[in-house]
Amino acid sequence: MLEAKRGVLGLMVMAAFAVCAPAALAQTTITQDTPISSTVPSQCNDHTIAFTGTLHSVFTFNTNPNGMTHTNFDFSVHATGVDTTTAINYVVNESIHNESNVHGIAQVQNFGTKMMLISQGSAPNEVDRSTLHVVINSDNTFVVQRNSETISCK
Amino acid sequence: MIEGSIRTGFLAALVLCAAGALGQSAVSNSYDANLANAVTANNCSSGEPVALSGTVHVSYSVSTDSSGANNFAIAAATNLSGIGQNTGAAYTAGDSDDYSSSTTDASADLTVELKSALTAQNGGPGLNLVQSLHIVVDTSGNISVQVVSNTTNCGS
Repeated sequence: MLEAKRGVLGLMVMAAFAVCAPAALAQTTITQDTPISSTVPSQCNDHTIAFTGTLHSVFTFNTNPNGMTHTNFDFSVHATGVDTTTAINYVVNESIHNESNVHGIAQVQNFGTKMMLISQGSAPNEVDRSTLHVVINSDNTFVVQRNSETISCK
Repeated sequence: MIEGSIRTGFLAALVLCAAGALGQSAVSNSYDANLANAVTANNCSSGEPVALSGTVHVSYSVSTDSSGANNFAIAAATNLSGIGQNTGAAYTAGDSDDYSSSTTDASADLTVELKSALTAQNGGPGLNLVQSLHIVVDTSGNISVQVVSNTTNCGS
């Protein structure tokens, strides 16, 4: 049953975790590791690449006396992929840094990202683009997802 | 005489109103940040600093949803050339990406990354360019962008 679920194509599978963001006071840092398990068609060669790995998120909140919250969003992606047709492996190691300034803490941010898939074989490297979707709610819960992933030629 | 004075005054008022309208600044929903010989901070041992020139173009649109949140949809695109500071090699870079921010604020203030391939025109090894862009849409709806940093990593 589990093997069948893993074999589903064209789905972006990212677990959404509800965790508690801190109350907007002083500086607080929270971290979260979100597993990556997805299968994505490549526009480069019509093959499919199956990924496993981790999206590591570190959010740092600083609230000043006028109620503005400065948020640092630091992401790192460590994943491996395998071309399900050629069995060639790919490696992804990327870091992403973004920031926001908002009143209060509630916000929805979408950050376009670009990562390199480094081929471990004879195939050329490819480019992975996705959107990091971050929702921070007023009740201090938050969610991180990777959406709209596409793979194209370098 | 009185009617002529009234007519003259009315026309004068119309002229003043028109002048006032022309004097109001139009909201700018796009902005070009120009780079002129901005030297990259190089993190690649086999690479080199590159002096970048060109444009980072940023534009946005905004909508308000049923909850009252303002959603700012932002697009950024680069069109750059560069000169290697060690080799004199010519480089080019061009890429784009999208971002959005949804809050109850009437303005948006984001710092985002835009990554592009910095390609050597002589066929030599390229670099990966990471630009940090500070994008602000003020409460009047005007957008501005500052290129905070230009950093290169080894290409792939």
